Amino acid sequence: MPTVNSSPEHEELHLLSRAVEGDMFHFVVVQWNYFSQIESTRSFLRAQFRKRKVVSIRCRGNTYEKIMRKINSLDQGFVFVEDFDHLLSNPDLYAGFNQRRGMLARRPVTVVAFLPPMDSILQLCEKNLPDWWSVLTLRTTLEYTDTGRYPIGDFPFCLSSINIWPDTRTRYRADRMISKLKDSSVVLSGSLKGELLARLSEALMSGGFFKEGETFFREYLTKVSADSELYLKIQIYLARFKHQLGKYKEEAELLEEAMKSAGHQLNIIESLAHAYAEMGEFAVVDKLIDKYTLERPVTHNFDLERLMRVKALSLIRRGRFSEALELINNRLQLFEWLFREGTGLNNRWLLLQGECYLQTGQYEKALLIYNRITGRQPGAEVSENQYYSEYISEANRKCAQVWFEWGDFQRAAEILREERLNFRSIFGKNHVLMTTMGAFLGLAYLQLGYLEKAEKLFSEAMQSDIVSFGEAHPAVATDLLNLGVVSLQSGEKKRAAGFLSSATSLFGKVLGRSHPKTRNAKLWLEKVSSAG
Amino acid sequence: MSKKALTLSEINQAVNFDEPIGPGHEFFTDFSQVRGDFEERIVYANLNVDINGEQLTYNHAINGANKVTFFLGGMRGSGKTSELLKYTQKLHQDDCFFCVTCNIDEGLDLNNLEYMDILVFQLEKLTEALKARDVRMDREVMTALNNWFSETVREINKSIKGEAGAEIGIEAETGIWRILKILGSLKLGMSGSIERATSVRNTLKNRFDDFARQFNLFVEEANNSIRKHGLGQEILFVIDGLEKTMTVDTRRKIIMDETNRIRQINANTLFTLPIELMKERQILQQYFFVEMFPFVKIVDRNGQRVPEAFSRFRQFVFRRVDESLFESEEVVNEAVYYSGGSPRELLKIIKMSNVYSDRSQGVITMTALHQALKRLANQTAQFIEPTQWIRIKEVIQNNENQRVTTFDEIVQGLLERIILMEYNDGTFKRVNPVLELSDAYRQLITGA
Repeated sequence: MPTVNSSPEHEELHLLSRAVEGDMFHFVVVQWNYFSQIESTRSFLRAQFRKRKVVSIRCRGNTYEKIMRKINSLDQGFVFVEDFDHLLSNPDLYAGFNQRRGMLARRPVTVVAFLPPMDSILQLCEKNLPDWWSVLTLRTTLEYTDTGRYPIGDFPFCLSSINIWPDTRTRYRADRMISKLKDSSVVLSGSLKGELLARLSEALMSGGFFKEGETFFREYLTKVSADSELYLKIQIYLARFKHQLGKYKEEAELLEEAMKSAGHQLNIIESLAHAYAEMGEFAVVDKLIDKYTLERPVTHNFDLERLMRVKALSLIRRGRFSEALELINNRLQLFEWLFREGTGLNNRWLLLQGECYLQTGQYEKALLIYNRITGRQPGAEVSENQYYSEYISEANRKCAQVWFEWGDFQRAAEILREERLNFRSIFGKNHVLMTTMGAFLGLAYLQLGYLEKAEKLFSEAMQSDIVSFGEAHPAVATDLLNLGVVSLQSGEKKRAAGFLSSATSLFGKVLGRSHPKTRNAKLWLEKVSSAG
Repeated sequence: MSKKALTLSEINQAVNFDEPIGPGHEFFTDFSQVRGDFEERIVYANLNVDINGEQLTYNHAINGANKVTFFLGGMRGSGKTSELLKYTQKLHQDDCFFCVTCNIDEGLDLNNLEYMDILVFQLEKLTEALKARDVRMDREVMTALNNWFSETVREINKSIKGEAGAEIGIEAETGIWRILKILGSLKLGMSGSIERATSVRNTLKNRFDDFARQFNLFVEEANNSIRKHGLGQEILFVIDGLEKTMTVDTRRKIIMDETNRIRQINANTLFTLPIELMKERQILQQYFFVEMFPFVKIVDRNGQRVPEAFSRFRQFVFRRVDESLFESEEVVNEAVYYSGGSPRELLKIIKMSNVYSDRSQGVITMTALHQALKRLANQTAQFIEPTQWIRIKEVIQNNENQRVTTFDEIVQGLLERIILMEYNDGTFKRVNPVLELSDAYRQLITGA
């Protein structure tokens, strides 16, 4: 007999074992709230019914015939379907499966269908498998109480992918503009120069060439001190690169200076608020936004869109989720009334809405929002012919994060692998987001125990992050932490200590000693030391 | 085969609600007389059967030209299939009918089904039954029938030429039962590729006047032959399992879109009507007989329990589960009350109570029953939408004020999911009593 304790999860497992007593047909639906419960449920039932045979099935990537062949190979015992949600979302699978209920019900087989913690998926079971639902033996929801559910390692430093351009095209455009701007033999008018600088800023930004952008515009700023209009523009461009490089204080100083000469321009206010939000100075963010919006009716003013999003983001960062949701829902209501679903503007707000749910652990709601953006049905696979946009890319990465939070690292990895392929075909393999996604995928591999693959992806991410952001950046510190964790898992304690020590000092340097990320890295370092 | 449970660990197999129980089975319980206004004789009367005490007779001389198509509708889990088995057993006698049962879910492709498939299936089942009883059929009629179907198969094969291996084969069998092979091939053709199935169906549809005439001729010849053999007065087709077809659209298409073709068939036929098509009753009643098979009425409109119904349900339970496995009779009565008069719901409640039972006590206690009811209640309430709760409240208020609840799509949805239960001829509806124990019900309906 397995160990018995009185946790709600174990009580449910005992009810489950009673429900499937008797050598006859049973159909049970087990909703997990952490993926590892599939294994614990399987082990528990196997221990309880030692004489029963066992077959485990994954529906994803399998045809109806293959699934049925596997089930039919069993004359009695348990059929564990690990990803029953795939079956429920695929008409090629559920239509036939529903019809075979009568045939299967004549055999002493117990079909244990595992579902993720989503009500919408459970409703699909009732809708798409009515025959099975009508003979349901038991439906149970397992509450995972183990504190060890938190994954090892840290999420990579994620950038927004909004407004990105294909890598090759971006590089080509940037090079052409740089050569024109640097060519002393060509005399450019002020307005043309301004236009070229604006486009260059956009190209370098979208290509992820942040360090290059910072250097170029810092140098260029000294050349245009006489032209106040151009000087202001370059100050703003430079501030944007500093933002991407995590130099928020320098960014804020630049923008404060720009505001002194230009007054309360919307784009300056927005960037400045963003910088202060990153620094955690939310009172200043509120003050800036209030100052700008007090005299203007917010509801119908489209110019304020970006500022409103900064406000929502700062509310999310402060943990004021209900206020953030109220603001987000108001904007969504307005835009969905004005535009059709799926426009960029709606999707930006939907991503923020999803973030609120993600941060508050309402993973099903978050997943439904991301599925709405990607146009995917819950549980369904990514369609090959799906229209692809940056919003879809971001939503897919967030979907992976939800599965990650639920402990289904395999599925998170599958989504990320597909997403990387999609992304690569459009934006090129050298885009900064490719390696960010790679690091995320590495994190999934780390949980799954594919240590070599994980280490390779973390190393690539670090190399790319150093090129994009420089060595003193939180993204690099995160990569160092993950490399430390993977080394520790591989038993290379000395190497792990080196990475983790570097990660701790770098986090401390760029984010401060009391920052949660710095503390986390320190804890890992202590773990290595205590392991001897 | 299930057997009576004498210990708690044997209960699961004894309350298996997936096994249809007919008369003759040790679990069979006759719920006649306790289904409110619905009585068994309504079914017989609709089929033009005379009842004289226990004796059922069908007078073909009077009714022969007046064939009946009868739809018996009912909610899932009301015990419809068991009752149908009972009717079939009673009607299947020399003074009455020669019943041919066609279980659609056993013989046809439920995912892709049309009325033509059912007609071919009926013919196949009838021929099998006649052959099994060695009924001699008129050779001329059978030859004509064989020829007609052979010609039809040739036409189908012409229309699907080009699709490799898709042609329908006719084995070179001779004799009057050759038709069985042809029908088998046609049925196979309709469960194969969509192209081939469509060709078979279209050919039959295009020649439907002829097909119906051949069908009717065959049935009429079968009627004559079974009378000669003393096997019955006429054929009665019992067609069950339509609700198991994959989609509502399929079911709707078979019944509603094929009304004219169904009318061209001259054979006594009893169809079970899927619950979601009960709303079409008014349309169907223009041409056919339609009756609603209700749940057992365990509580009157005034809230009084019906002792006979409770007694019958206790019998139903104790035939499956030994009385000694319940803490008291009151536990069974409580379970019966919360079943709302549905045999299947009652079995579910007992099964779940058994899950909650303490094996060391060896009996199902009232505590275990209440834990089970609470779980079932909350799970039943989980996906009820706000508009449905509003309608549920209206049903309760209507019952309190002795008013009838009007029908709409929401009510239909609630009936299909057994959140509402129907009694009598469908005029009395009440909320599934299990729901009353849910937290959502208390919050939204009773305001507690």
